[in-house]
Amino acid sequence: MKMSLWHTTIFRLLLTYALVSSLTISALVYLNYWQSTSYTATQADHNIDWQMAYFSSMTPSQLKQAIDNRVKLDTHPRVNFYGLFSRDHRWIAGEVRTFPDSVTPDGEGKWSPSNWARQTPAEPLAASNMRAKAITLRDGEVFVIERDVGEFDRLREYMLGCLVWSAAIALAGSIGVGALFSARQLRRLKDIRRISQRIARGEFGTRLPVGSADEITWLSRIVNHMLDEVSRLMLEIKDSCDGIAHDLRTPLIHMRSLLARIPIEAVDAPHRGLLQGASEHAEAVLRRFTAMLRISEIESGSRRSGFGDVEMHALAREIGELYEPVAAQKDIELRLDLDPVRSVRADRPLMFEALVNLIDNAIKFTPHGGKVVLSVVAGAHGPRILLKDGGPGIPESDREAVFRRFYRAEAARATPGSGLGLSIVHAVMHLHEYRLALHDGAPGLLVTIDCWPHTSVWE
Amino acid sequence: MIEDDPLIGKDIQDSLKDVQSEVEWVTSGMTGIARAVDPELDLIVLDRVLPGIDGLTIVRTLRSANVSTPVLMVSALSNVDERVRGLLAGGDDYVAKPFSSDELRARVIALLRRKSHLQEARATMLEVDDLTIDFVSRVVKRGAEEIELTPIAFRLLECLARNTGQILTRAMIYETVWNIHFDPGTNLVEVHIGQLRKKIDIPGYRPLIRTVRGSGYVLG
Repeated sequence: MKMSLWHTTIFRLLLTYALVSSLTISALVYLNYWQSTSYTATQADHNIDWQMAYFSSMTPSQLKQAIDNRVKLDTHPRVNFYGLFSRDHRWIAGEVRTFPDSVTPDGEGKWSPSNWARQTPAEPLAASNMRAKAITLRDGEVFVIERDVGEFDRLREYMLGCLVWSAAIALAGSIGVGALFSARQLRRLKDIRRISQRIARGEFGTRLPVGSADEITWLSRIVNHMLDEVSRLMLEIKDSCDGIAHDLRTPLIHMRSLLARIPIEAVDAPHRGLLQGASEHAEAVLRRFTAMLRISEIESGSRRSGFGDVEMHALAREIGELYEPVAAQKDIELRLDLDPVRSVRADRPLMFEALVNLIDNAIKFTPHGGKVVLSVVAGAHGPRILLKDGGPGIPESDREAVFRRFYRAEAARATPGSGLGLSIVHAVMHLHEYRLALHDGAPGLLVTIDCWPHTSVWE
Repeated sequence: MIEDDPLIGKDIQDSLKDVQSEVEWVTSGMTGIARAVDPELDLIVLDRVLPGIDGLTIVRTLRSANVSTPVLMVSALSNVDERVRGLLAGGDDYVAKPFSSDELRARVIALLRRKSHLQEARATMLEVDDLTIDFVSRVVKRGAEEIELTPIAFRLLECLARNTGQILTRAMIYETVWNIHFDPGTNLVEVHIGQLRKKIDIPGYRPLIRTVRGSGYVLG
């Protein structure tokens, strides 16, 4: 699985937190806006009502005069603007020159955009929102008061702006901090992955890093403790395995040596077979012990240091030449189809051992007069080694099991062998991270080894 | 012989009974290193794991003190890395416990011979009975008859010829001829020896390649 910032808990948590807080802040901003707007409207309407009451008590001529006086004489920055219109909304007096479209002469407060020309010499205010009301006077004329609430609006917008900005800064901050923390966690996790990889390759002395007390450290401690236990158990098992093998091998070696010292001529004919049988069995047991120790040695991964550049075609040629006489003895044609391929990182002696095991099997299971083909070709990722024999093959259901220790397919039971050869091959390929597969050679068995595919399980 | 295990030490002593030699046995690294510097010694059989000073340190110390007495390392640590480590430290050969007495004897003789025939071992030409081998021109002759050999067969013959008269075990052949440090478990050596025999021991001539049952092969 790819490790990215998005996949860390901290980052997701903080992102969720940021999302929730931005939603909350939006709601807050909206509520604030709505409340302050209705407050502004109420205040303005109240003020207009008061003015309306004052002006509407005047006679028409007094009203006209009062409006003109206000317009002409009042030099203070103005917030209230007046307009007197005829019944059919034609202008009579005041600075509101056009009848506001949104307003009806029923005394209801309405919002009105300021699209009228000013009469005052004062420089025009920036277009602001107006709260407007109109009433029909007794003589049928319509009196309009508009109140500039721009000041309120600006204050409100300023405050809302502050709120939005602080929210944005807080959000950016939390995301930033989240990313920072996540990157740190991610770095630690990547360290852990790298170290786990080394442990999986057999460096059992390695432990996960333990830093300040937090969840990852706890987890690392747990894993480290588990690793301690696993390596202790492995060591115990290895020790007892080696001990058993060692203890049993010594008397077996002695037995084999003693058997070999018996001069065959001194043994009467009927007993020669028994002597030979005993020797052969001692040999077989010793071979199995050696193979078992060999597998645990390869699987322990201690040999990674022996890696170097290996040309697989050259290696295959050498093995082919070594086994040519063995094949010839059984009238088997051993064909080598070797394309020159680029060299790969490998442990040459181990690859040699693995291929020797495979070709040995191939020749063993191929009947007299059969054919074995060893080829090396350039594969998609790296060299591909193919070995096809003329034997009975391995049924599909058995192809996984044959790599298990001591497993011998039904057809192989009659053939001598330790049953450990393929386990050694498997262990070697596992160490190299090469892909080993068995196929139906139709007829026979086809073994393929894909070198250096390196699609590691860790990526 | 520097060996702390009484049983294995006895085995080594018994194995070397047939070799005309005098075996001195010390059981600790300390006394071992004191005795090993003696220039009169022909060969040191050294256990890899010893109480006190271990075998690797002893062989390193000897080599750094310019003591060139051949050292055969004996070890229960049989893995390939251990073998390489032993040889790199300055050991001349390495045999894994448990070993057969034939194996040990063959290796001891090989080392003793290597010491006394250091020049001869690098000879460019060898004669064994009526078999002549020219290592430079790679020409092999039996009497006057020239024998064609594959490179693999030639290497096998070279190994046998350079150790004429002494037993080469299967393991020794694997190691010296093919650099194989594991038992392939197949009759590889037998087959190749068989092939070589067909070429070398032609009818009318005395057979030169002998099989020593349970041990190995010998030329001459």
